Amino acid sequence: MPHVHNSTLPPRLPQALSCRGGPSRAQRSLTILLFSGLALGLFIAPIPVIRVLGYCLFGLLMGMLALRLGLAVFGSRLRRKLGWVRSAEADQKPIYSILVPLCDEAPIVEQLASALANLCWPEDRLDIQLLLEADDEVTQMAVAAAAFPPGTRVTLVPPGGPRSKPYALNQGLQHARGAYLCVFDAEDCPAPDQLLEAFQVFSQAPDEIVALQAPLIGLVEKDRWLAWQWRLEYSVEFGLIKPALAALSMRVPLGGSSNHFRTKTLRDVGGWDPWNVTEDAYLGLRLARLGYQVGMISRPTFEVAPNRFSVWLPQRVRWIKGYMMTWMVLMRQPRLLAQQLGLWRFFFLQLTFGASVLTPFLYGPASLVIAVTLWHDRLYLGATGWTLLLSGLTVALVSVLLASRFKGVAPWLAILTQPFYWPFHTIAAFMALWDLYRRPWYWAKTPHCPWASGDLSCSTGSSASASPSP
Amino acid sequence: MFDWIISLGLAVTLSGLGVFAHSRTGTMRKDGRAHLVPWRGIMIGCVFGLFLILVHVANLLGVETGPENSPFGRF
Repeated sequence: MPHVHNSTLPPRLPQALSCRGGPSRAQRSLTILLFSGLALGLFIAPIPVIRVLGYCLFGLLMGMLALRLGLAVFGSRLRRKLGWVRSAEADQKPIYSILVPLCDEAPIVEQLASALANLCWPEDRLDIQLLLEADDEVTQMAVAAAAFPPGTRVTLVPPGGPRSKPYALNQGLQHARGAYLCVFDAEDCPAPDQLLEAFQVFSQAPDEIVALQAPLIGLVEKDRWLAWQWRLEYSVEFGLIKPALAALSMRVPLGGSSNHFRTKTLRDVGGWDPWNVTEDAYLGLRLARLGYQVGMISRPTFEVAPNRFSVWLPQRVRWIKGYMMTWMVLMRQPRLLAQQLGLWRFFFLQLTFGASVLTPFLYGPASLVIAVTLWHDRLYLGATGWTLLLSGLTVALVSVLLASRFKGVAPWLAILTQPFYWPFHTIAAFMALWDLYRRPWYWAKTPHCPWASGDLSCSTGSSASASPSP
Repeated sequence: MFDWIISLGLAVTLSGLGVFAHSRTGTMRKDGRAHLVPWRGIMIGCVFGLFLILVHVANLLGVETGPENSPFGRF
């Protein structure tokens, strides 16, 4: 049974860098001014205003698409170079801390224990902390009954802050003993040698590289369409876009889990923002502001893709809300941000991270226009509309094709029906906007179940680009 | 009929070439050197061309797509 201890409240991130304060006064005023001006313009001269808006949006979206295509092509060219050969340095191992926040995760605890036990790292050099909510007795009992590696500790997260993953992670960070630290989620199944690769990359990389992201691969159960869509997204994001951004020394929003850090630097920058619901993405961008870089490694982590809309939707709402929060915090002082990142990286950030905030709102209305006009046997989109539609479809299809070689009917059906998946993002985006207004720090917990289709193939040697056989 | 043969013929050709280019993308030649043919670019061109053909096929099926009738003007 793991040793249990209670944690104390960690130090807070400065208000200016935290989401807690919400939008600044200038941001509120600017938003009100912008929407009032837009409403007035639409009332006085609707067609010219719509045209001007359309041209602006056209330029912005074409820029985003061109950049995404460029990153996808560049990322696919990198794949051959991404790889890992174990060197002798990997034999001198320091203490490696692993933080696993758990909340209502009793059903998956056995699987987690098995995944952590499979890690190739000496047990006496492994510092595993399970971060449990103080009132979550069911998970505490499941943890006590499971066979975690020796030395695993349980840290009870005290109430008093937001009930969020970053809040728990900050508790764990206080007590971490390792020179390096890694975050896994309850449902994760990391490749056994992931820590070895991360340690080796950290040892050889310059000090500016303070975080490494392992590729995440979604496992699809029963060939469900929604799960395949989720996996396709992940294969593009973790197989092409993030490696390309990292190789270009651009800012990389860290994704979900399997983030590896130099512990001292992580403490120096104040850890995670407990009020941000996509704390991983924000931390990656905050590190970039401070002049640090995020790198990629090749050994993956597998996790089960959500296959039900009732699971997918709250997760997506949280992600989009978190992106909006993150963009808001970053843009509190846009001039300072441009100075810190440099003008080129600042615009890059707007076109890549800004896209993940803006585009979910556009998929639905665009699809509706197409559906309605097609219903009347007409598709009058104008030259800009056609250019956007065909470019968007091309970039989406090419990205997926470059990301992986999928085999079978189900993945190809999912690839060819991607446009039917995108409008769901609009539902999530508007729900996220409402959530941001009503309960900005509410953390919609994604329920996890153990992988039902047999043994999780944690030891498969595949990278993000490969297609493991789930 | 002629329009249909040309359009579907182009669609099949572009699909075939696209699949072939995809299979070559990211691979090495047998002698270990990189391909001289830009297969990625060819694949991207095939995908874009295929979508253009699909719009043309939609036209042949009776769907009007003229940008001059767009509610927001030709552009």
